[in-house]
Amino acid sequence: MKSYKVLFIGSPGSGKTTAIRSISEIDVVDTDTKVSDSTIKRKRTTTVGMDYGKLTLNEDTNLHLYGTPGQERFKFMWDLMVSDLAKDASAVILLVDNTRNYPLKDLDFYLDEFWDYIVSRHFVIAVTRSDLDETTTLEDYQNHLKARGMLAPTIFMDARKSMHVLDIINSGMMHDAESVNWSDVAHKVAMNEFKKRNPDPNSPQFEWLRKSRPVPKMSIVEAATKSRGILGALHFDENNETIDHSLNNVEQHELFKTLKTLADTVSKKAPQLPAIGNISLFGSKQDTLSLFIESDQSLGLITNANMTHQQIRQQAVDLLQWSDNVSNTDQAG
Amino acid sequence: MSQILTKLDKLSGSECSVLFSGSKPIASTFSKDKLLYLKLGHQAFTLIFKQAIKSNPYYDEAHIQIGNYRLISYRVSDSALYIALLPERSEIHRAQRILRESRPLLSKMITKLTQAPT
Repeated sequence: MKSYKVLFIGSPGSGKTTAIRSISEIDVVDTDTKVSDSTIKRKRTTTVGMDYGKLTLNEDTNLHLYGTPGQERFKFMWDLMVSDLAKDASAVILLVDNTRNYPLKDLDFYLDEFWDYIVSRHFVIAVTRSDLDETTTLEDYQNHLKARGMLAPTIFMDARKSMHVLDIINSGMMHDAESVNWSDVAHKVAMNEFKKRNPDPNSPQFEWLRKSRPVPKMSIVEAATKSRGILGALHFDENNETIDHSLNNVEQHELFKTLKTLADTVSKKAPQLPAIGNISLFGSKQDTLSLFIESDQSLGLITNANMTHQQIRQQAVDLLQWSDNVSNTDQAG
Repeated sequence: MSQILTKLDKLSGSECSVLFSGSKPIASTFSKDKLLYLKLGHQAFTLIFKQAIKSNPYYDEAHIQIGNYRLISYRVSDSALYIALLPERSEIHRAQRILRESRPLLSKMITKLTQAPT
């Protein structure tokens, strides 16, 4: 019996769990739990361990589907998966959510994080949610990859559609699994999708549909304050005007303004340096104050003293990626 | 004294660092090509701490991320600042822990250097 493996990676909410669920012929082993961080802006549950699904390609060949958790705080799982569970994977599929404000930044982040793993495998980039936002085009992705000196198939896909997912998998491993009749697999996958359309109310598939229904719209300040460890938030637009905030302390509000003005002044004074992306203030047993700056918006966060910079940064990155008040997305990444 | 900073750089994973007493750098491991970060860092951190204290007098550590670099500064005393430049992919949490623990040492360095006859 031959076994192949494919690993799905990508940002939180990019569709890894959905993609594996849509194509797996077994009930997916997931480790979804109720969201307690900034992901609340996007969905009700999130993967905290890993996803696993399976697809029989023919009598002698199985395909094992693995998905990493999206949040960087579960990086230990990424390491575990690439060094153990999915060490022998034939292909790696990077899912990029096109509705995030800076999708090319996501592309860079995952390329950097998984570089050694990616370069020794078939690699495909699957861009999801392009039906909702086409601002970043396939050409933008390809040009960005070219600028980094690499080539990879880049395809728009709907993670909910099994045939789209199969197409991506096929692109990633068709040269390895030569004995597989992909037309037969496509037929089987299509039939499975047909069966899944009206799931039994007691089935895991039905529960999944219930959990993955859309979340109510909320501002990133509201999402921030619902996240564990975040005590207050403030959102500036590109003109440093406050869009929304949840701060009770006027001095903190003023301090964020001063820090943003300082960042702008430094950029003007030293244009040869990259722009300031973050300014943070810490004190022993004090709440941490952090300002995260993009070219078209900024986010200030007051967080518990026990949160590490990495944890704060990850929350801020996702919130800024999902904010609704951005006029210019960063095409240059 | 720069040797102590070099050792501290190694421990914390910093590329280079500097100790300021007032507006004067009294020990430094910054190379020429990174002097702009030193100058900019000192001006920015001086302003940041001046403003931050109005909101919370216990803020004694500030960070500025410029591109892939991160400047970390500690207020060693009312008039003394320590600034370190961390390269890309540094373990920030580890650097914070080591540098925070080294504050008494930096404080001693300041006393020694500012009292030394010129």
